[in-house]
Amino acid sequence: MTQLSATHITAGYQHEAILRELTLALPEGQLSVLIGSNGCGKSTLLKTLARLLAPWNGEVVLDGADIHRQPTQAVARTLSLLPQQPVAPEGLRVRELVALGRHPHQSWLSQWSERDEACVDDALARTDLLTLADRPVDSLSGGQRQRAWIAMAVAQDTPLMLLDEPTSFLDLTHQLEVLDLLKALNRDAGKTIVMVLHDLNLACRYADHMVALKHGRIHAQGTPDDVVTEVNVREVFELDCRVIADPFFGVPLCIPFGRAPSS
Amino acid sequence: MPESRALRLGRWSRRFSPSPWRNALGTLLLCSLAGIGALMLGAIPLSPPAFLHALVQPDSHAGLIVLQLRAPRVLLALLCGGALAVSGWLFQQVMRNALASPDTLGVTAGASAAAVAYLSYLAADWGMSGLPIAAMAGALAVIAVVYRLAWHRGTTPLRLILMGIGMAALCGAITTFILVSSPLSTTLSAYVWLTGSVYGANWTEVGQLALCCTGLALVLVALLRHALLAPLDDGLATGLGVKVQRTRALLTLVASLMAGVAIAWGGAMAFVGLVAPHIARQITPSPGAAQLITSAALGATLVILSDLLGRTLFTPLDLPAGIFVAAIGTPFFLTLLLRQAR
Amino acid sequence: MNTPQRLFALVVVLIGCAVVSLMAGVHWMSPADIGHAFWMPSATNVDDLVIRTTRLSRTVLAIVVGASLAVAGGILQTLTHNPLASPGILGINAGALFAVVLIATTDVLAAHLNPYAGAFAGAAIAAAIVWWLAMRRQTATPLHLILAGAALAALFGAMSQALLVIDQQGLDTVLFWLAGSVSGRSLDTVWPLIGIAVLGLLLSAALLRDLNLLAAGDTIAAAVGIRLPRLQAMAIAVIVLLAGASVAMAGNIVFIGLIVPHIARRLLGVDHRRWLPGAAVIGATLALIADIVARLLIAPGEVPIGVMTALIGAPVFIALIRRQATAHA
Repeated sequence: MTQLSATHITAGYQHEAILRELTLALPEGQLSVLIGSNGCGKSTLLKTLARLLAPWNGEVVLDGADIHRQPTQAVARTLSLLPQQPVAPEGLRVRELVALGRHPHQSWLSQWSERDEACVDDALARTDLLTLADRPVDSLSGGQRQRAWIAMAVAQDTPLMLLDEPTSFLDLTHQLEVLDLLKALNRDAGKTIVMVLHDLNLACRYADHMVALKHGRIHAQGTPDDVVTEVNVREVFELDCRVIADPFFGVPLCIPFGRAPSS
Repeated sequence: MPESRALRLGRWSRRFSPSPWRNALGTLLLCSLAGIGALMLGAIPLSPPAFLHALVQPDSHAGLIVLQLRAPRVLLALLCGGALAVSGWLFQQVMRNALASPDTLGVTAGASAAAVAYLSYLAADWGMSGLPIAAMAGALAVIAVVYRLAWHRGTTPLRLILMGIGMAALCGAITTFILVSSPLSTTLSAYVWLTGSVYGANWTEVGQLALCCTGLALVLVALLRHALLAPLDDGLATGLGVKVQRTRALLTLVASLMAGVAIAWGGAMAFVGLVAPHIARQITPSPGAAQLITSAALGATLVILSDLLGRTLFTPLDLPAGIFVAAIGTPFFLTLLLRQAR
Repeated sequence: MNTPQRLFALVVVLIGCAVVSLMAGVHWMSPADIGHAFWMPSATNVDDLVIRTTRLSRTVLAIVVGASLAVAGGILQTLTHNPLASPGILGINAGALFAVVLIATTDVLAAHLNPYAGAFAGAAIAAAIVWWLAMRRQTATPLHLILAGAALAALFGAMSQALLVIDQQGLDTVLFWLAGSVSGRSLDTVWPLIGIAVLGLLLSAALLRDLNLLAAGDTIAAAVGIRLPRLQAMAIAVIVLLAGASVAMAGNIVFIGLIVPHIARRLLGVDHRRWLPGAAVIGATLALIADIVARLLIAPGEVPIGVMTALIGAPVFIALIRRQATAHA
């Protein structure tokens, strides 16, 4: 099992700090969701956790050591990352794109081991892409393309997966499809999954653990029941709402009314 | 449906799909045919039997023509074309831009400015043998400056291209100034050099260039799997364990050196680096070693044919190959463009 | 300073530069000499003659060419939504060069054709071919325009090179053109081209409002009722008038069309009604300064003005990109 945590990190761009003194431990083997309004630092936090952004202060700890002190290829065998709206290189077929995920496990000598092949086949099967494997990535629909990117992260075969808004720009069916897939990876393969989501109700349904951010700090964290309360939603999103129990799933269901008068 | 197989031998393993390699083999064949054709044709055309006879009898008149005059020229054209095409392919990968080439990054302009300066001010005292070194130095100096200027907590491809365009304009101005202010005889030799020519190639030059190209090709073999990841976003690539900035700098250096050596011995043959990789991508869309080889073979074929046309079309004139590179390449390029637009 | 004040300041600088341009040279004149030359010219005074012929013509030419290239570049950058576009990508420079070379190396043509008119025709034909290639699928996407332009420019360049290598005497005559220059052209021979450029500048004023909408995106422009193909065709026509005439008169002056629009947007904001006139003023000023430096730097020799604009312009361009990098990284 692997453990990812952040201690007292301050991070940002240029001279503007986005995250302030933030400390967070992500529960192993669970599906965690980061929520918060636009500009609260969710993506920055994800990038910092994935070592794309070096914190000004504090450290991100992966398996007991500072993530920036570890060889980046070794980190890539433990932690995979899917950024927002990635762009595929021209001319690539789905299987080739997914195979790129094996890069951290390869060396000059070994560039297509039996394990590589098995992992890519497994990733294609899990994401239901076997029939599309030889299609050019450019020719896929938005939902299929997103699945291909997730397949690439799956093929990377890491115990930890970080995803930045994996459902944005997808219709409702495809959103559920992607989230079901991630939930299955978490449940069946025991992967720790951390993602940013915008849809509060979908987040409640799929998350084991939720982290609400506001102004670069953690406002609340815990189970969806702990985090998604009328008070928290008003404070985090400045949104008046009613939170009831979802009649089918029992998780919190947020019914938004409108922008709360700023307090 | 492109099937792919695994090739494994002990710990060594590669993915192998036959169709791109078939294409690569086909273009290599095309390149050898062009080469043989260029050896046989010229002011004194040789029939196939006479050509074979010349090969086995190197001291005969025909043998001298083929082995001492034509062969070095064809090989130099092959190496220059291949190296420029590889350089262009690498630049397009690393800069994630279809228009990137040694020209856009300022490498060609830098080499040209240095070479023209050498021809105008130093060639009289130091002879022509220093010309390749001057051109190399110019190419490397410019790419170093471009990199330094584009560096701000790492580089981005767009910033590199913009700086390249700026530096290319600056070097172009210097080149023009030298051309205008030096005597006409120097201007003429400089102008031919700027067009790109393999006229008067000899075996020593071929040997030197072949040595450089082999060295760079070996480096490229080691780096190829990183070059294939270069078009990914920086974030994705980092997520896959790539040291993005280091890889980008390394690949840019290799691409610049490739272009630098080709320009040093063959002159500023614009356009090969832009057009050959584009045609290769149309033939084999999947990026990989096969696409790279296809691109190199096409670049080599283009320059060999251009040189052949240059010395046969307007005999007794021997025109620089660079003229015909654009003449053959542009119609191809435009056809591709129009087909793509559909 | 607010935007109108800045624009006013730029005009003042331009007038200052124009006066200096009349004064500067191997033989410096005083402002009094200039006043004398304009208001009380005498046929026997050499100073009056120098000012009224060589100095005045190169000053006028630099102003017209600088303004035209800057405006042409600015319109093209809006049209292609590409900050790197300059009139050169339409094949204008390569087409004009080919025409000049063709005329210089072919005796029959040289006897009957004015090289300035030939250069303008070459520029217009090249731009028309590029435009036709890119427009074949209804609307030209910027990338196709740029790629087609790059390819065609290479082809024209190669043909020019071929002619020059075959007929080496031609090289000497066209080198001046390759490098760009505003000296040695009397207003008597180039006035039709100046007229064309001024016409282009006037026409571009009519496009300013539509260009603002186009800058917001092709779809948005179409949604508010702009007829896109017509606007694109008109804008290209204006660019050909401006850049074609400039290139025909003054040769290969690179970089004004590329960088001046950037400087103008930086100083005057994104409204075309402000920055495009500003670009004209800045372009004229830059061309004047380049020409003044060009004739002083190695006096009595001259650096080609095309070389000077690049030597002055490239560092400005690089500094601009670097500042942007530090602001957005």
